[in-house]
Amino acid sequence: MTMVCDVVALSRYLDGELPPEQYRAVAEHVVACAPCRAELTALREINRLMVDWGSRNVPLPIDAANRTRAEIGRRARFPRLLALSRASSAAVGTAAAALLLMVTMNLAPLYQSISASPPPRVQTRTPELQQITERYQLKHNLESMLIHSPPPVWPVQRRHTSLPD
Amino acid sequence: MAMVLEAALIEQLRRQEEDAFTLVYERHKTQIFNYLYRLSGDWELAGDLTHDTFLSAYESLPKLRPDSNIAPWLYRIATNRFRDLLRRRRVINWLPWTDGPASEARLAVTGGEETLSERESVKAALASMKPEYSTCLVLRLAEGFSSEETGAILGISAEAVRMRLSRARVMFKAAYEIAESGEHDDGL
Ligand SMILES: [Zn+2]
Repeated sequence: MTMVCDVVALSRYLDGELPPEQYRAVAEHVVACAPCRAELTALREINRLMVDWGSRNVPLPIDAANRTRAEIGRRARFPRLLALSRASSAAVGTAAAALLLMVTMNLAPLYQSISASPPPRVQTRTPELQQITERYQLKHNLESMLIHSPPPVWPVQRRHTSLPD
Repeated sequence: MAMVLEAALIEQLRRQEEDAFTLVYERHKTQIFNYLYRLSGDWELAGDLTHDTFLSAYESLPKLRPDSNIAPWLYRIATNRFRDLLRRRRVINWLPWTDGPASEARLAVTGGEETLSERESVKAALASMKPEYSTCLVLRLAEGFSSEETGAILGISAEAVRMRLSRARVMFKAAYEIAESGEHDDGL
Protein backbone atom coordinates (compact mmCIF):
# COMPACT_ATOMS: atom_id res chain seq x y z
CA MET A 1 0.00 0.00 0.00
CA THR A 2 1.34 3.41 -0.91
CA MET A 3 0.84 6.66 0.95
CA VAL A 4 2.30 10.12 0.57
CA CYS A 5 3.79 12.01 3.52
CA ASP A 6 0.84 13.42 5.44
CA VAL A 7 1.31 15.23 8.72
CA VAL A 8 -2.44 15.15 9.47
CA ALA A 9 -2.42 11.36 9.15
CA LEU A 10 0.62 11.19 11.43
CA SER A 11 -1.13 13.35 14.02
CA ARG A 12 -4.19 11.08 13.94
CA TYR A 13 -2.04 7.97 14.01
CA LEU A 14 -0.38 9.25 17.15
CA ASP A 15 -3.73 10.02 18.78
CA GLY A 16 -5.28 6.69 17.84
CA GLU A 17 -7.86 8.51 15.78
CA LEU A 18 -7.51 6.94 12.34
CA PRO A 19 -10.09 4.71 10.67
CA PRO A 20 -9.01 1.12 11.51
CA GLU A 21 -7.95 0.23 7.97
CA GLN A 22 -5.48 3.11 7.78
CA TYR A 23 -3.23 2.24 10.73
CA ARG A 24 -1.31 -0.33 8.77
CA ALA A 25 -0.86 2.02 5.80
CA VAL A 26 0.59 4.75 8.04
CA ALA A 27 2.81 2.29 9.91
CA GLU A 28 4.14 0.90 6.65
CA HIS A 29 4.82 4.37 5.34
CA VAL A 30 6.58 5.47 8.51
CA VAL A 31 8.86 2.46 8.51
CA ALA A 32 9.88 3.25 4.94
CA CYS A 33 10.06 7.07 5.21
CA ALA A 34 12.80 8.70 7.30
CA PRO A 35 11.31 12.25 7.27
CA CYS A 36 8.00 10.93 8.59
CA ARG A 37 9.81 8.95 11.28
CA ALA A 38 11.53 12.16 12.34
CA GLU A 39 8.20 14.02 12.25
CA LEU A 40 6.56 11.38 14.38
CA THR A 41 9.37 11.64 16.92
CA ALA A 42 8.84 15.41 17.03
CA LEU A 43 5.09 14.96 17.49
CA ARG A 44 5.70 12.56 20.38
CA GLU A 45 8.02 15.12 21.95
CA ILE A 46 5.28 17.76 21.67
CA ASN A 47 2.89 15.39 23.40
CA ARG A 48 5.40 14.88 26.18
CA LEU A 49 5.91 18.63 26.60
CA MET A 50 2.19 19.31 26.71
CA VAL A 51 1.46 16.48 29.13
CA ASP A 52 4.20 17.86 31.35
CA TRP A 53 2.72 21.36 31.02
CA GLY A 54 -0.62 19.95 32.16
CA SER A 55 0.75 17.83 34.98
CA ARG A 56 1.38 20.53 37.55
CA ASN A 57 -1.54 22.07 39.40
CA VAL A 58 -1.02 25.02 41.69
CA PRO A 59 -3.67 26.41 44.01
CA LEU A 60 -5.52 29.59 43.13
CA PRO A 61 -4.12 32.45 45.28
CA ILE A 62 -6.23 32.80 48.39
CA ASP A 63 -6.99 36.52 47.92
CA ALA A 64 -8.23 35.88 44.38
CA ALA A 65 -10.53 33.15 45.67
CA ASN A 66 -11.83 35.37 48.47
CA ARG A 67 -12.57 38.16 46.01
CA THR A 68 -14.65 35.79 43.87
CA ARG A 69 -16.48 34.30 46.90
CA ALA A 70 -17.34 37.79 48.11
CA GLU A 71 -18.62 38.87 44.71
CA ILE A 72 -20.74 35.73 44.30
CA GLY A 73 -22.18 36.32 47.77
CA ARG A 74 -22.95 39.92 46.92
CA ARG A 75 -24.70 38.98 43.69
CA ALA A 76 -26.64 36.21 45.39
CA ARG A 77 -27.88 38.57 48.11
CA PHE A 78 -28.52 41.65 46.04
CA PRO A 79 -29.58 40.54 42.59
CA ARG A 80 -32.23 43.27 42.34
CA LEU A 81 -29.90 46.01 43.47
CA LEU A 82 -27.38 44.98 40.85
CA ALA A 83 -29.96 44.97 38.08
CA LEU A 84 -31.12 48.40 39.23
CA SER A 85 -27.63 49.89 39.29
CA ARG A 86 -27.08 48.58 35.79
CA ALA A 87 -30.24 50.15 34.48
CA SER A 88 -29.41 53.51 36.01
CA SER A 89 -25.84 53.56 34.73
CA ALA A 90 -27.10 52.83 31.26
CA ALA A 91 -29.48 55.76 31.54
CA VAL A 92 -26.80 58.20 32.57
CA GLY A 93 -25.20 59.25 29.33
CA THR A 94 -22.01 60.65 30.78
CA ALA A 95 -21.28 57.52 32.75
CA ALA A 96 -21.75 55.45 29.64
CA ALA A 97 -19.52 57.77 27.67
CA ALA A 98 -16.82 57.61 30.32
CA LEU A 99 -16.96 53.85 30.31
CA LEU A 100 -16.83 53.79 26.55
CA LEU A 101 -13.69 55.88 26.68
CA MET A 102 -12.19 53.53 29.24
CA VAL A 103 -13.00 50.55 27.08
CA THR A 104 -11.44 52.13 24.02
CA MET A 105 -8.32 53.02 25.94
CA ASN A 106 -8.36 49.48 27.20
CA LEU A 107 -6.61 50.04 30.46
CA ALA A 108 -5.92 46.61 31.83
CA PRO A 109 -6.69 47.37 35.50
CA LEU A 110 -10.11 48.65 34.55
CA TYR A 111 -10.96 45.48 32.76
CA GLN A 112 -12.16 43.96 36.00
CA SER A 113 -14.56 46.70 36.95
CA ILE A 114 -15.99 46.92 33.46
CA SER A 115 -16.71 43.25 33.22
CA ALA A 116 -18.14 43.22 36.74
CA SER A 117 -21.06 45.47 35.87
CA PRO A 118 -21.25 46.29 32.19
CA PRO A 119 -23.93 48.77 31.16
CA PRO A 120 -25.76 47.15 28.26
CA ARG A 121 -25.47 50.15 25.98
CA VAL A 122 -21.71 50.30 26.16
CA GLN A 123 -21.37 46.59 25.69
CA THR A 124 -23.19 46.58 22.38
CA ARG A 125 -21.09 49.40 20.99
CA THR A 126 -17.61 48.30 21.97
CA PRO A 127 -17.03 45.37 19.61
CA GLU A 128 -17.66 47.54 16.56
CA LEU A 129 -15.42 50.23 17.88
CA GLN A 130 -12.72 47.73 18.67
CA GLN A 131 -12.95 46.24 15.22
CA ILE A 132 -12.46 49.63 13.63
CA THR A 133 -9.54 50.43 15.92
CA GLU A 134 -8.06 47.03 15.27
CA ARG A 135 -8.33 47.32 11.51
CA TYR A 136 -6.76 50.75 11.58
CA GLN A 137 -3.91 49.69 13.81
CA LEU A 138 -3.32 46.47 11.95
CA LYS A 139 -3.04 48.40 8.68
CA HIS A 140 -0.61 50.85 10.19
CA ASN A 141 1.47 48.18 11.77
CA LEU A 142 1.71 46.26 8.51
CA GLU A 143 2.69 49.40 6.64
CA SER A 144 5.41 50.26 9.09
CA MET A 145 6.78 46.75 8.72
CA LEU A 146 6.71 46.85 4.94
CA ILE A 147 8.35 50.22 4.41
CA HIS A 148 12.06 49.95 4.90
CA SER A 149 13.08 53.11 3.04
CA PRO A 150 14.14 56.16 5.09
CA PRO A 151 11.29 58.34 6.31
CA PRO A 152 10.14 60.99 3.85
CA VAL A 153 11.29 64.57 4.27
CA TRP A 154 8.27 66.60 5.26
CA PRO A 155 7.42 69.80 3.36
CA VAL A 156 7.50 71.64 6.66
CA GLN A 157 11.16 70.88 7.11
CA ARG A 158 12.02 71.93 3.58
CA ARG A 159 10.19 75.19 3.95
CA HIS A 160 12.08 75.80 7.15
CA THR A 161 15.51 75.49 5.56
CA SER A 162 14.60 77.71 2.64
CA LEU A 163 13.29 80.49 4.84
CA PRO A 164 15.42 83.62 4.76
CA ASP A 165 16.94 84.55 8.08
CA MET B 1 -26.70 8.06 43.42
CA ALA B 2 -24.01 10.31 42.02
CA MET B 3 -26.17 10.95 38.96
CA VAL B 4 -29.15 11.87 41.13
CA LEU B 5 -27.00 14.28 43.14
CA GLU B 6 -25.68 15.88 39.96
CA ALA B 7 -29.21 16.33 38.65
CA ALA B 8 -30.21 17.96 41.95
CA LEU B 9 -27.17 20.20 41.76
CA ILE B 10 -28.04 21.34 38.24
CA GLU B 11 -31.60 22.07 39.36
CA GLN B 12 -30.34 24.26 42.20
CA LEU B 13 -27.87 25.94 39.92
CA ARG B 14 -30.62 26.80 37.47
CA ARG B 15 -32.37 28.58 40.31
CA GLN B 16 -29.11 30.47 41.00
CA GLU B 17 -28.85 29.09 44.52
CA GLU B 18 -25.72 30.36 46.19
CA ASP B 19 -24.64 27.14 47.95
CA ALA B 20 -24.90 25.11 44.77
CA PHE B 21 -22.74 27.59 42.95
CA THR B 22 -20.28 27.75 45.83
CA LEU B 23 -19.90 23.99 45.51
CA VAL B 24 -19.20 24.33 41.79
CA TYR B 25 -16.70 27.08 42.47
CA GLU B 26 -14.85 25.16 45.17
CA ARG B 27 -14.77 22.02 43.04
CA HIS B 28 -13.53 23.60 39.83
CA LYS B 29 -11.64 26.78 40.69
CA THR B 30 -8.18 25.16 40.74
CA GLN B 31 -8.81 23.31 37.50
CA ILE B 32 -10.01 26.43 35.66
CA PHE B 33 -7.27 28.59 37.13
CA ASN B 34 -4.58 26.16 35.98
CA TYR B 35 -6.15 25.87 32.54
CA LEU B 36 -6.06 29.66 32.19
CA TYR B 37 -2.50 29.76 33.43
CA ARG B 38 -1.47 27.14 30.88
CA LEU B 39 -2.99 29.25 28.13
CA SER B 40 -1.78 32.66 29.24
CA GLY B 41 1.43 31.83 31.10
CA ASP B 42 0.60 34.59 33.57
CA TRP B 43 -0.49 33.90 37.17
CA GLU B 44 -2.07 37.24 37.84
CA LEU B 45 -3.96 37.26 34.59
CA ALA B 46 -5.09 33.69 35.13
CA GLY B 47 -6.44 34.74 38.55
CA ASP B 48 -8.38 37.64 37.04
CA LEU B 49 -9.73 35.50 34.22
CA THR B 50 -10.80 32.82 36.70
CA HIS B 51 -12.73 35.46 38.63
CA ASP B 52 -14.38 36.61 35.39
CA THR B 53 -15.14 33.07 34.31
CA PHE B 54 -17.05 32.20 37.47
CA LEU B 55 -18.94 35.47 37.54
CA SER B 56 -19.99 34.95 33.92
CA ALA B 57 -20.96 31.41 34.84
CA TYR B 58 -23.04 32.67 37.77
CA GLU B 59 -24.86 35.15 35.55
CA SER B 60 -25.68 32.51 32.96
CA LEU B 61 -26.95 29.92 35.47
CA PRO B 62 -30.63 30.38 34.56
CA LYS B 63 -29.74 29.42 30.98
CA LEU B 64 -27.95 26.22 32.07
CA ARG B 65 -29.48 23.19 30.38
CA PRO B 66 -30.70 20.35 32.65
CA ASP B 67 -28.40 17.86 30.91
CA SER B 68 -25.32 20.08 31.12
CA ASN B 69 -21.92 18.88 32.21
CA ILE B 70 -20.42 21.39 34.58
CA ALA B 71 -16.72 21.08 33.75
CA PRO B 72 -16.96 21.48 29.94
CA TRP B 73 -19.38 24.36 30.46
CA LEU B 74 -16.85 26.16 32.68
CA TYR B 75 -14.00 25.41 30.28
CA ARG B 76 -16.04 26.93 27.50
CA ILE B 77 -16.65 30.14 29.42
CA ALA B 78 -12.98 30.29 30.44
CA THR B 79 -11.90 29.83 26.83
CA ASN B 80 -14.17 32.66 25.74
CA ARG B 81 -12.86 34.96 28.46
CA PHE B 82 -9.30 34.19 27.34
CA ARG B 83 -10.14 34.89 23.72
CA ASP B 84 -11.85 38.17 24.62
CA LEU B 85 -8.79 39.25 26.55
CA LEU B 86 -6.48 38.53 23.62
CA ARG B 87 -8.71 40.55 21.35
CA ARG B 88 -8.45 43.49 23.74
CA ARG B 89 -4.74 43.07 24.20
CA ARG B 90 -4.14 43.05 20.50
CA VAL B 91 -5.61 46.53 20.41
CA ILE B 92 -3.43 47.78 23.26
CA ASN B 93 -0.17 46.31 22.04
CA TRP B 94 -0.71 46.94 18.35
CA LEU B 95 0.47 43.42 17.88
CA PRO B 96 -1.25 41.54 15.10
CA TRP B 97 -1.34 37.79 15.48
CA THR B 98 0.50 36.17 12.66
CA ASP B 99 -0.34 32.90 11.04
CA GLY B 100 3.15 31.66 11.60
CA PRO B 101 4.69 31.17 15.00
CA ALA B 102 7.27 33.92 14.56
CA SER B 103 6.46 36.69 16.97
CA GLU B 104 9.67 38.21 18.19
CA ALA B 105 7.94 40.85 20.30
CA ARG B 106 6.30 38.17 22.43
CA LEU B 107 9.38 36.09 22.80
CA ALA B 108 11.36 39.17 23.76
CA VAL B 109 9.28 39.28 26.94
CA THR B 110 10.98 36.14 28.16
CA GLY B 111 14.30 37.00 26.55
CA GLY B 112 17.33 38.33 28.36
CA GLU B 113 17.77 35.19 30.39
CA GLU B 114 20.70 32.93 29.65
CA THR B 115 18.59 30.00 28.59
CA LEU B 116 14.90 29.37 28.74
CA SER B 117 13.79 26.37 30.65
CA GLU B 118 11.67 23.81 28.89
CA ARG B 119 8.50 25.10 30.50
CA GLU B 120 9.37 28.70 29.69
CA SER B 121 9.74 27.69 26.06
CA VAL B 122 6.37 25.94 26.12
CA LYS B 123 4.84 29.06 27.62
CA ALA B 124 6.42 31.34 25.01
CA ALA B 125 5.44 29.04 22.16
CA LEU B 126 1.80 28.89 23.29
CA ALA B 127 1.69 32.65 23.79
CA SER B 128 2.80 33.23 20.22
CA MET B 129 0.01 31.09 18.76
CA LYS B 130 -3.44 32.18 17.73
CA PRO B 131 -5.92 31.32 20.48
CA GLU B 132 -7.94 28.91 18.36
CA TYR B 133 -4.82 26.76 18.02
CA SER B 134 -3.35 27.17 21.49
CA THR B 135 -6.70 26.37 23.16
CA CYS B 136 -7.05 23.26 21.02
CA LEU B 137 -3.54 22.07 21.90
CA VAL B 138 -3.91 22.76 25.62
CA LEU B 139 -7.40 21.25 25.95
CA ARG B 140 -6.54 18.16 23.98
CA LEU B 141 -3.02 17.38 25.23
CA ALA B 142 -2.47 19.21 28.53
CA GLU B 143 -6.00 19.01 29.95
CA GLY B 144 -6.48 15.58 28.42
CA PHE B 145 -9.90 16.05 26.83
CA SER B 146 -10.93 13.82 23.93
CA SER B 147 -11.53 15.31 20.49
CA GLU B 148 -15.27 15.13 21.14
CA GLU B 149 -15.00 16.90 24.49
CA THR B 150 -12.62 19.52 23.09
CA GLY B 151 -15.04 20.10 20.23
CA ALA B 152 -17.90 20.62 22.68
CA ILE B 153 -15.85 23.19 24.59
CA LEU B 154 -14.68 25.05 21.49
CA GLY B 155 -18.02 24.80 19.73
CA ILE B 156 -16.64 22.86 16.75
CA SER B 157 -16.90 19.24 15.59
CA ALA B 158 -14.54 16.50 16.73
CA GLU B 159 -13.35 16.24 13.15
CA ALA B 160 -12.50 19.96 13.12
CA VAL B 161 -10.58 19.44 16.37
CA ARG B 162 -8.45 16.71 14.73
CA MET B 163 -7.61 18.97 11.79
CA ARG B 164 -6.89 21.92 14.04
CA LEU B 165 -4.76 19.86 16.40
CA SER B 166 -2.59 18.71 13.53
CA ARG B 167 -1.98 22.32 12.45
CA ALA B 168 -1.52 23.42 16.04
CA ARG B 169 1.26 20.86 16.48
CA VAL B 170 3.10 22.15 13.42
CA MET B 171 2.78 25.74 14.69
CA PHE B 172 3.82 24.80 18.18
CA LYS B 173 6.86 22.92 16.94
CA ALA B 174 8.15 25.91 14.97
CA ALA B 175 7.38 28.34 17.82
CA TYR B 176 9.01 26.08 20.37
CA GLU B 177 12.19 25.88 18.31
CA ILE B 178 12.34 29.67 18.15
CA ALA B 179 11.78 29.90 21.91
CA GLU B 180 14.47 27.31 22.55
CA SER B 181 17.01 29.42 20.67
CA GLY B 182 15.71 32.34 22.74
CA GLU B 183 18.56 34.83 23.11
CA HIS B 184 19.12 35.15 19.37
CA ASP B 185 15.94 37.11 19.08
CA ASP B 186 17.00 39.78 21.53
CA GLY B 187 18.69 41.83 18.84
CA LEU B 188 15.51 42.18 16.83
ZN1 LIG C 1 6.74 10.27 4.68
